Amino acid sequence: MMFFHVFCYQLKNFSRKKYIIGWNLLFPLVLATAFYIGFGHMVTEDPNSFQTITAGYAEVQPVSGTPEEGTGSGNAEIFLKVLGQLQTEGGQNLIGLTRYDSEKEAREALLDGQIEGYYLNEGGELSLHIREEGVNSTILSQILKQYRSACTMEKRIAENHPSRLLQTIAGLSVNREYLEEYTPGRQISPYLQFFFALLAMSSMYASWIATTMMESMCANLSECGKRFESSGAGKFPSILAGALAGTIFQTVSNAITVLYIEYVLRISFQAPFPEIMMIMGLGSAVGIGFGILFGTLFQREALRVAIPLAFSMVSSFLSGLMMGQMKQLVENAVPVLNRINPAAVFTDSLYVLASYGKNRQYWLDVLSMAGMVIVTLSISAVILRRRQYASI
Amino acid sequence: MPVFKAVLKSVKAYWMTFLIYSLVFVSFAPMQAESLAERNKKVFQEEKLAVTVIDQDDSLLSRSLADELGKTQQVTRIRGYVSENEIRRLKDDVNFGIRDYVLILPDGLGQAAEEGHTDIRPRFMQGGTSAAGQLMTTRIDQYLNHLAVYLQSGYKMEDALKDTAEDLTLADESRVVLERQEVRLTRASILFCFNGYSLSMMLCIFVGCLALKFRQKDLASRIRVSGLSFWKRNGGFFGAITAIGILTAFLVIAVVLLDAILHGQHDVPGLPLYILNTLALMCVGLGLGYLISSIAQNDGAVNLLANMVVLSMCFICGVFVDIRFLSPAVVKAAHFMPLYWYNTGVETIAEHSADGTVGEAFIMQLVIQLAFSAVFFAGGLMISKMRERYNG
Repeated sequence: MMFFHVFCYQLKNFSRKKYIIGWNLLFPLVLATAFYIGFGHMVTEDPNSFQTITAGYAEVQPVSGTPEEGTGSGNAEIFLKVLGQLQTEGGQNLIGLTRYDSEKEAREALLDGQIEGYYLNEGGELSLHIREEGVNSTILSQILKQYRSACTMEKRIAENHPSRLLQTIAGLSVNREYLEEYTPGRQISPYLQFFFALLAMSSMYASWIATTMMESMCANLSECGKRFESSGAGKFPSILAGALAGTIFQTVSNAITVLYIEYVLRISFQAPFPEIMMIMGLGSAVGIGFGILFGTLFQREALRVAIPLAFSMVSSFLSGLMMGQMKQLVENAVPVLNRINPAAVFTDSLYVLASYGKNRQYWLDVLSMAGMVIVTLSISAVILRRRQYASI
Repeated sequence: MPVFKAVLKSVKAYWMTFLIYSLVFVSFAPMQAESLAERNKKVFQEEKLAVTVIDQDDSLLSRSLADELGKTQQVTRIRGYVSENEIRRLKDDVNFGIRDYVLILPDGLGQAAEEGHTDIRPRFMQGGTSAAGQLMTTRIDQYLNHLAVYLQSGYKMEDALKDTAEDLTLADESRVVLERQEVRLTRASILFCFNGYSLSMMLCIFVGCLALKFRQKDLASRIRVSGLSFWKRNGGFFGAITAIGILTAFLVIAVVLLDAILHGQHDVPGLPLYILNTLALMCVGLGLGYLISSIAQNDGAVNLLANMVVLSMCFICGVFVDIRFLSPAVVKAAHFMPLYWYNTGVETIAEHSADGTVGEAFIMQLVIQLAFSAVFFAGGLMISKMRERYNG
């Protein structure tokens, strides 16, 4: 009965504290909106997706000198034909080619940004002019090398094995694709990691709920704490009741955030809602557990505000809140950090659920979070059990 | 002077906040710089990708292919079979852009190539449908096509591999002309970019909490009845917060200089301009903090509002996510936020750091930031006045 009594009143207490509503409910909604405005379109459309490369071609007659053998104007047509035939695995044209009447026109188009590069045929010698380095420039350079290496191969075989030349030409006219794509699991946008980290941060903010609760239960921290310590209510059941109330409060806040992201912002977490809520519940419990531990360990008010803030921020950053790749970088450099960072375990469980489903890693993450809750509550119970007040 | 000293002494109460955000800057900004910084180049260099080759075949073909890729890419080789967990980790690395491409050469590939079968094919993993992935697929297909033509022309595998490597080496002498020298973001510019978050947050919270404290009825009344004139009272307060702002700004600049020294650079190109830009941001931070203090009612609310506003601005204005990836509508909206102009200033300085001539555009960016600061201060004063009038 006392358990239920404390549970109800703690729930009322949390819902009346403006700063808890602000940090744990409003702030995640505002940040989710900012994320959506900033890069919501990148979650649904891959910004790195391949686009046909716009390129140009121009010819210049040489002032003097003989054209390079095998690369005269006739072969320029072959080169242009090759460019037109190149396609990606998805059947998209690799190059969108524009032929210019002069080098000047091509250069103007390049500097204007209309094309990414142009091939210049100076009396049979091909060169590539680009505006800036990058992957697309490298692809254009690669195509030119491919053409030149094919010409070199033809020349070599014509010199050493002329009887095989026809086979060679037949072979060069076929451009086979040898590679096949392998995608274990589902492909999800790396920008979704920001939203996972946002939910992790929100769950870690539950530590403030717990420190507030501990303040009202410790005699040396508040008048309410004195009354609580003097009452006949058992300390451990009361703390458990408060922890449960805090967990439910935070889980409901997280649920509102998830529903807002999925149905208002229309960004899917690629996982069923009940399973997401199960992880939210566990994450909230982890936040509450750590908050109770901080409330137990730190008596000074400044530390009881600063430590949960630092804990939430650092763990959220390392799980990818400000830099989406951070968790993966940490996984490669110091993997043990990802195992003990509650925010990283939280985001990993969501990521694995979305990408691979409920596999071994997912259950390991769930068990880790459950373990963190048990460990933090146990340590807090041991410390609080022995605490006595000589004089208040 | 008494008010000036009182404000400076009051800052001591917020040392924990200062410490947290300083640690965030000192720890996380260099991490971001490490992964994003690129070096300026004057000569075209092909994009070097981080490629992992899983060689399950260990044949002459697989080793030669890996060697060929190693000449132009950053290749990590894994010999033999890998576990499913390892495959998933590699896939996650590719998804988050830590690796660009993973190539799996299955057992029996060399044999199949020699016999002319295509049933055993190399597999690859790439992030989405990225251009980097397309580049690698094109390069590898080129190699295998070239090799296949030699084999079909009757060459033995060893000779075919040798001649293919030679042809590609000769083709590497292709002429590529870089029409414009591109200046990319340096470590210093990325650190200053991250500063948009750290400095703004620190100053918003300091000034917000201090202004709130000095607006408390009791304290404000005691200061008002002292012998100090209006100008001395307010001059002292604003002088103190400016001094705090300048100290904080120079602390951040010192961290950037230290980072440059630790990385073997004896100077930071464009440093005076970076300092000017940082001081303009400092004014924005002070103004925003003052505005927030006029709206908030306690330190917790100041923290909440500062986090909401600054963090959201950072995502929309290109501090955490490259502005090139944001949609045009978001970039237009960002024009109405001060951090966008600070960020643009950092990019302008990075682009012109070689010659030091930034032109009118940079002056305009500074003026706009100062204008925002003036608007925030004016807004804060107006709101405080209105609240005093209504609350008595």
